[in-house]
Amino acid sequence: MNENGSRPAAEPRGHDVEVKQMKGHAIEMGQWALGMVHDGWLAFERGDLPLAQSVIDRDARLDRFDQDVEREAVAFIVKTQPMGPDLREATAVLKVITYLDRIGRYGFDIAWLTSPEGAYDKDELRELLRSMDGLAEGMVAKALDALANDRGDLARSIFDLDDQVDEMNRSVYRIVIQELRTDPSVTQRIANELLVARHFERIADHACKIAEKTIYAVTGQRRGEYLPKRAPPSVGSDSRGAP
Amino acid sequence: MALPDETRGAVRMSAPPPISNDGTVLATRGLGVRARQHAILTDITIDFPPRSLTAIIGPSGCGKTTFVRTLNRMTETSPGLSVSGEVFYLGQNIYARGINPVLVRRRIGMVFQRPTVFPMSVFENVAFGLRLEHEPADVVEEEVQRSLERSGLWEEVKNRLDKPALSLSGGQQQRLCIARALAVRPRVLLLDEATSSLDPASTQRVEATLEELSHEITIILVTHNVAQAARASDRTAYFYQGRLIEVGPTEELFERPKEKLTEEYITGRFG
Repeated sequence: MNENGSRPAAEPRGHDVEVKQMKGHAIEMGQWALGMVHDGWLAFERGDLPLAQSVIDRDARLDRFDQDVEREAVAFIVKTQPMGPDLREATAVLKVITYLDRIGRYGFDIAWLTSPEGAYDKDELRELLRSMDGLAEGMVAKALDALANDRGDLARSIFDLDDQVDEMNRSVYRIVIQELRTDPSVTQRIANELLVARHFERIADHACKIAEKTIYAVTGQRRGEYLPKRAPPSVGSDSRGAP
Repeated sequence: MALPDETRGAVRMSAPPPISNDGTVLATRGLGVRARQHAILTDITIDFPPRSLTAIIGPSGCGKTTFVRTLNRMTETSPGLSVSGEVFYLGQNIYARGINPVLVRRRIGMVFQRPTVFPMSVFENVAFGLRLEHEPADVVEEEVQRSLERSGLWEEVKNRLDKPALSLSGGQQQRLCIARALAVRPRVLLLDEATSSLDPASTQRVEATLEELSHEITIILVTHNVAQAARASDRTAYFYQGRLIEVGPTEELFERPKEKLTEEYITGRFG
């Protein structure tokens, strides 16, 4: 391990080729899931129903990715009985594909909320959701990059971004409550904005989980060994309703 | 000079032996072995706690077999080897002047790669060490049964104790050797590639036996099979070119080894 937490380039190890291939397939799945999020948001924002339908249709391929990579990782474990970094990579991939499946499903869920009118017409809210999309997608892309290149340092840089997404989620919540007070007739549409914000917040959380697994694969360290413990939020605090 | 838990006369009368003050049953300090100008082992310092199963792994020629043979003075049967440093059994250096190697080997038993059954009955194979101790017949009978039970073989041979031991399968013969070693109540059992000539089912039975025994005695298992070390031991020590590179809890060592050399070996880069 070098000082920035990444593994130095070395000649191929015993199972380097298989591990690289398995991770490559997980990354491919991640790009597929990321595409679903990206297009799901575009469809929702623009009210683009055909694009929304195409995202819905991509779910079956996402499932196949999940099953194929899982099968590949299990076969790798059975055949090679991996140890050390190879074992960590294989178990990390098994967890990562579950997070990626959830991320893709959130893209599906956002697309599912698409209406012909598009996103709720309030600049502040739309800007916030755009920023959340950009941040969440960026976090997933960064997490995939870190996983692909054994970059523990890059993975660690993701955690701070999660706080920004959480804060934006709380802002969306406050705006939505304010809008509902002003005009209760918009309940149905604005509730969807709240759901979309929540989905972005969850996508960002899953990106953090991928980063954690990458750090584990590269260094062997688990979350509690490098992140300070946080007290759980108190019920009844300001964040209630949008933790 | 007597070993700390040695008593005269009947083996069965030995009280449960005390453990040294720091709880370690067996320990080496700066242990080295040379064959003329060639160093086979260099400066090995390691502790073996009671009721544990430690696997010794490493590539061929790393000195792991020599190491375990040094732990009960079996190296003395190989001419041309010189031992330096110390090996402590319950706090007593077994290489100290006046220590009888036969007594050492009674307390620190050994099972080899190939089953070494004697051309006699199942019963007499296990009774062999007890007969040398001139134990009375009833004691011998009791100890033979107890040892066969502890080695996981009793149910398979109880109705053919008078049959030739050579008629047993390879796996059964190896467990018979374990029973013979256990009959003289060793505190430590050394196994040198003891399952490498067995089929998977027999290996599994021997490993299950060792797991059971590790709740009572200290077991040190030399194996070239990394997977066996991972599944059967609770501690693993990695040797390379005659040196101890790393020792630690098995799960830890196989999940996140501290040393690059260990990582390269367990991931199949060499060895």
